[in-house]
Amino acid sequence: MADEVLLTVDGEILFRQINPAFLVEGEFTSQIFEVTPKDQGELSIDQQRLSSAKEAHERFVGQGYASAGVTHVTVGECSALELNSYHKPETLNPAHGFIDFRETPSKQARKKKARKLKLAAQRHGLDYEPDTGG
Amino acid sequence: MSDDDESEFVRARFSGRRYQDGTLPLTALPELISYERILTELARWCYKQDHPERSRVPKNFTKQLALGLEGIERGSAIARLVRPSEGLPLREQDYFTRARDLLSRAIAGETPAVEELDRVPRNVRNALSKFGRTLEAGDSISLEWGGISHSTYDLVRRRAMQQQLHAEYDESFNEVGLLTGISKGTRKIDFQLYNGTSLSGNLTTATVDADLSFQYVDESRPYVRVVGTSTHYASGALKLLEVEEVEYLGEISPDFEAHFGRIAALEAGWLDGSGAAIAPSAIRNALELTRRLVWVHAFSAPRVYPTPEGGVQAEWTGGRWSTMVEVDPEGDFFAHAVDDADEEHERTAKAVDMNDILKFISSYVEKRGASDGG
Repeated sequence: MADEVLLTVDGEILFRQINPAFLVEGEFTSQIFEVTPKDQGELSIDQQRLSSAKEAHERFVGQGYASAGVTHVTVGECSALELNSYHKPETLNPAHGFIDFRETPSKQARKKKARKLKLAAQRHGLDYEPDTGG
Repeated sequence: MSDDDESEFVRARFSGRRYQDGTLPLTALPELISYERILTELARWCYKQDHPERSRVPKNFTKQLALGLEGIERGSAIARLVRPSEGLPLREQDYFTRARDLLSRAIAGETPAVEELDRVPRNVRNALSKFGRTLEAGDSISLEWGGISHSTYDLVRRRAMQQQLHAEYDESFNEVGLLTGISKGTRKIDFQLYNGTSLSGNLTTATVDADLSFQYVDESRPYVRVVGTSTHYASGALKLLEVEEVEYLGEISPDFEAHFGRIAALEAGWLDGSGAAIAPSAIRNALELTRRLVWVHAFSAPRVYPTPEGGVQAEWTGGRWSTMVEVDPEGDFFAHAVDDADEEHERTAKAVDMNDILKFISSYVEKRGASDGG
């Protein structure tokens, strides 16, 4: 298991992929910031300083996952919600990191934090949207 | 015109969705006629109270009122009612001003006025029963003069006053529910409200949506909007008096229903290998909640998403609050609203009863037309 390195620069941008089911009429749901059981409290992100949004998207889709686009929050926006962010590279993704929900065990509390991250991401908008040929 | 114009008697401010563009629909004009009629009858009664020795009011008594509609102003729609500018009596002798004030204080629920109204004869009660018949949920008529709003008449106040004055009373009926029966032969309709109340009405003069007979052949209990007049009884019973229109509601919108269908069809693993299939109870309750919000309560349709646990999440943005409701796989509800201007300001609700969630949403989601582009 790779070491986790705490991210401390408030302005650092953390990309998050948007599953197609979570994008309706150009608006995404707060669920893109909700951890599922398989995440084990670690919500995956890509660090902008190590990867562009387009590269992050292509890498994600290349691993067989679905993404309708990329948005972002910042390290500062996470820490304002008492969520730490970490750099945690993976073999296939050196830009990988995560937002730490391990200290937020309550489902309702996770949902509330996810909604606030979504509002922040909504203000930022989409960083990358693949050309679907439409 | 200034507020102290002697001829301006009252401003009737009509508020509600129908009046938002500053237009007073012609269907609302009977309210102004009813208002004048009440004041005339009340003024007569007040005069006779002061002059028990006289069996009639003085000659030309009612001509002192003779309200005229001088104009409609915006905000929402304000009807400016004026009196004849010449020959007005001294204020202390003015029974019409007294009647105006008495009615307004009774509408405002002031006990002495309410008790005084309890003593009025049948002709005044009959006049009162007509006032407010066109009001719908969310509508109100504020009575203003001298630059002050003195009282607001809405369905709640109307019902309270009508129950005080009458064993039964009529009001407009505009409800959404389930069509449980319709017969072209007998021109009869059976209808069930969301609270379970079953109603029957005659379609004698009604316009029936052409799609309806087609939709009802399989007895699938489609959603319809029924518009007409109803009678309320002291017992709490409700009777459909006259049905003017039966509108088949069909679907919220083709795009919305298609999107809902796609969510319902998601198979397990839809979220990159995880993500449960969406539970039928979540689909059923989310769709029912949306229909009630859109059709009954006039909210915009939310954006709807599946949840990884097999539920459905509805979200509204664009108003002051960003609001969501999650319907979990068991069909239970969790709602959360965040103030966009101050994210520390948030509200949550958990409920099994859909009505509780409807109340929550009503507090935080804007209705259609409440903001531009709504």
